[in-house]
Amino acid sequence: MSWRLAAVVVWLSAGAAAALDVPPVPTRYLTDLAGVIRPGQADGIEQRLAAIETASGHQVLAVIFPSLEGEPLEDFTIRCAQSWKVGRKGIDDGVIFFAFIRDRRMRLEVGYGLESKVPDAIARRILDNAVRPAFAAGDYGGGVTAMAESLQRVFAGEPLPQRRPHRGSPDATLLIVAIAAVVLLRVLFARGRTFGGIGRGGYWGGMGGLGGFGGSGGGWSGGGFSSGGGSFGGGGSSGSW
Amino acid sequence: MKRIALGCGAVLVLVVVIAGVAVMGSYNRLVTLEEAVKSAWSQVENVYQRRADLIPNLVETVKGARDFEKSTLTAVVEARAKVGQVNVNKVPTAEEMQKFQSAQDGLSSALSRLLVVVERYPELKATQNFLDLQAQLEGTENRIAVERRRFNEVAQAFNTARRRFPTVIIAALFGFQEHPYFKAVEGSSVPPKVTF
Repeated sequence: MSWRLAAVVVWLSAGAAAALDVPPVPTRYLTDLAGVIRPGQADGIEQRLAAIETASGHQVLAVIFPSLEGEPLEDFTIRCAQSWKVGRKGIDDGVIFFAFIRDRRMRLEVGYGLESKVPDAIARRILDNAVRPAFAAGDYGGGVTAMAESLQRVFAGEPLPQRRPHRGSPDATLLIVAIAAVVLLRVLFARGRTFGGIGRGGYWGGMGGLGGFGGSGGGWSGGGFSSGGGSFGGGGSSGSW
Repeated sequence: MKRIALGCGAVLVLVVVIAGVAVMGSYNRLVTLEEAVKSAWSQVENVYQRRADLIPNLVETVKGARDFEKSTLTAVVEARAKVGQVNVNKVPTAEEMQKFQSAQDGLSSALSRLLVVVERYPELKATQNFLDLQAQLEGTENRIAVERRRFNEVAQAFNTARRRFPTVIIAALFGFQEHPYFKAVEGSSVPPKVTF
């Protein structure tokens, strides 16, 4: 059994050399290691991804990392896919969406069994047309939701819509902008009556952006994800935003 | 005396049986490992074939672009033809592997050069047809990398088992050959040079 030992040694040394280790098998459909998705939105995504498995049997996972830590993208994602074994055994119908926030890189890893249903060109369209606009606007939750929506369409045999305008909910960036605007306008307002007209209108405009933050809570308490034993052969597509 | 002879005989039989079981075990293990190598090789062939099948479509798409640089396109077509000549239907020997790899790597570099040249043709780059093809090509290159690595892994498992004592005797007896590996392409980490 020395080759097994050799494999372990290779694996260990690879692990030691790598800056970013493959995390253990996720227990939820959405794993946000970077903390960029609001809990309320995360529950919605979790439910949507769980619903995909209920409806089609295909396991779809989304994992958000803070950074690649210098790892080559495709090399790291295939190692994760191989170790997590998403998708049913023998059918190999798993899909994993990876995003690395600091690198602004993403990848859709498609299992062997879905390569004809989700060919590389479709995977790329999902990343380019559905995910990228939202991610570029800082709306990570919206991007992951759009990815899941697109996959649902593809699995149902519906055509993907052409590039659509981004209509995400306000996120942290917008909130900061809104607060900054409020503060700035208040300062300007306090300075004198010269900017008063703009100040008044802008003040309430800025507050309007906050309206979208209601309606979170009500935690999702589903069964979570458990790996089915599917395998991957490097299908899918990579992208950036 | 008779009893001692009987005892010796029993021990001898036991030794022969144990040796037989050991030989059988080694042999069967080599067979299992070799099968893994074979199936990994057929996957390698599949993904390379997949790439070769994309070339005609790619050539057609790129040809349509106004005054596309002919030499780049010719290089791809020629490299594709060379790949077609090197047919390895079974797990290759070291020599066959070298030929196979040099032909395939030739096509890889011709293709990457083509993709670099395409950067100078924004209208071509923007067409959905080309974007789809590019995604397929990138995906295929990625699959090639994955299957090559898997092949190397199982070949290494086989080779290690084959060279160990006493399996090495059984390997020699039954003619199990060592399998060559894919070597990393020289300068593959260096981006292709662009000449204007």
